[in-house]
Amino acid sequence: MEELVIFLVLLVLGFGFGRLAESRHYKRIRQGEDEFRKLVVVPGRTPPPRFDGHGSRLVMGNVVVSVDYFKSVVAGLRNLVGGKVSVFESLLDRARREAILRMQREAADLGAEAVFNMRFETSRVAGGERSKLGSVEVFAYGTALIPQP
Amino acid sequence: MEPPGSNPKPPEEINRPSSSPLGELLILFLGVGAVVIVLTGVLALFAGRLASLVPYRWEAALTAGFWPDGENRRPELEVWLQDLADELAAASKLPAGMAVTTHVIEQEAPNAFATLGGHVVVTSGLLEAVSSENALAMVLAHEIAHLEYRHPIQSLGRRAVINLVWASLFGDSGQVSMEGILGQAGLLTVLTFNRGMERQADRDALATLEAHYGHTAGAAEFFEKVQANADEAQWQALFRTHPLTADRIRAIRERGLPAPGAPLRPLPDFPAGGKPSGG
Repeated sequence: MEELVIFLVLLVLGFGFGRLAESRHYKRIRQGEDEFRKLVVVPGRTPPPRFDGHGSRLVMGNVVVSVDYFKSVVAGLRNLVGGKVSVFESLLDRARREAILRMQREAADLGAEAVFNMRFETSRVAGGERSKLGSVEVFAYGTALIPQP
Repeated sequence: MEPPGSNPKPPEEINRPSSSPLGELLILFLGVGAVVIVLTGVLALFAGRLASLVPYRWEAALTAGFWPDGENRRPELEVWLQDLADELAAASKLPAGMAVTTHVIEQEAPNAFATLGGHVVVTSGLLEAVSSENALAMVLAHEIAHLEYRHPIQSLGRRAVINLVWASLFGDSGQVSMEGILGQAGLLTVLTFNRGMERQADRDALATLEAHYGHTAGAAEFFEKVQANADEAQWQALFRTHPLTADRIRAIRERGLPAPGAPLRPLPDFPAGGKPSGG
C-alpha cells in the first residue's frame, strides 16, 4: 500500500515539474532561435563560391537532458505494448534544438556567417542499464565559415 | 548549393506531438492493468487447482525434515494442545490420511498458522491471549480447515506459478514502473483469493466447533481482541490477506449457535514453564 502511495507521489511530482521545465525550456529555445535566425545552419557540405575565402572552424553544441519519473513510467508501459513513445519525442526535440543553439552561439562568438556540414550525435549518459532513469546527451557539430577581413 | 537567407521556422507540432501525456498514461495503465489482473486471476485459479492434485503423502514427505524435535519447554501443554487438535480434526472430518501436528513457538504476538504437511503452529502469545478452550478451539479449527482444503499447497502453487510467469514476461524489461505498479495489481488479485480461503476456513471452523462442543459460544473472543487492538478502515479491505475482523466476527455471530449461557470450557493450568491463563 505504501509503495502505491510513494509511486503516485513520484508520478505527480515528475509530471508537474516535468511539464513546467519543458514549457520554460521551449520558451527559451524559441527566443534563442529568433536571436540566431540570421546565422544559417545547414547540413550541406558544399558552400557556394561566395564563401571561398572564408576561414573555417569546428563549432560544437552539447546538451544533456534527463528523463523524469513520469516519462520513464509511460515509456516502460509503451515498451510492453509497442507504439510511439511520444513522451520521449518532445524531450529529444528540445535537446536537439538546444544543441543547435549552443553551437550557433559558439559560431556567433567567432564571428561566423554560417555553419555548414552540421551533424548530430546522440548518446546515453549515466544510468547505464536500461532500467534506470537515464540522461541523453545530444551533440551538434559543424563547420563555421568566418569572413576574413 | 545555396543556403537560405535565414533559418526557417517550421511548425512546432512536427517533431513534438500534441497528445496529452496524462491521457496516454491513463489509457496504457488501465489497459495493461486489466490484462495483468485477468492473467493473474486465471493463473491463480488453475495453479491452485493443480496444486491440490499433489498427493498429500508427497507433501508430508517433502516437509517432514523441516520440523526439528525441539526441546519441549512445556511438554504437558504441548501434549494437551495436540490432543485438542486431534479431537477437533476428528470433529471436522479431516481425511484419514492427514494428521495434524501442533507446535508451540515462543512469540509474544498472538498468531497461528497452518503449513505444508499438516503442521499447525501456535504462538505462546495466542495461548495467553485466549481465556477459554472454546476460543482456542476456534483458532485451531480454522487452521485445521485450511489443511482440509489443502490451502497451504494451493498458496504455494499459486505463488510459484505467478512468480515464474512474471519473471519470464517482465524480468527483462526491469523498468522502474514494472515491479512497482503492475506487481501491485497482481498482488491485489492474489489477495482476493487469500480472503476467499480465509472465509471458507472460518465457516468450516464454526461447523467443527458445533460438532465438537454443540455450540459456538466463545468463538469470536480472539477476533474481538484483535479488533479492540487495531483499527481497520473499510477501504483497507482490498489490501489485506484476511477479511476485515469486523466482517469475520459478524459471520461468526450470524452463522453460529451462540446458545447464550452455554458453558465455556476453561483452559487447563499447567505447572511451571509458563502456562495459558486459566479460564
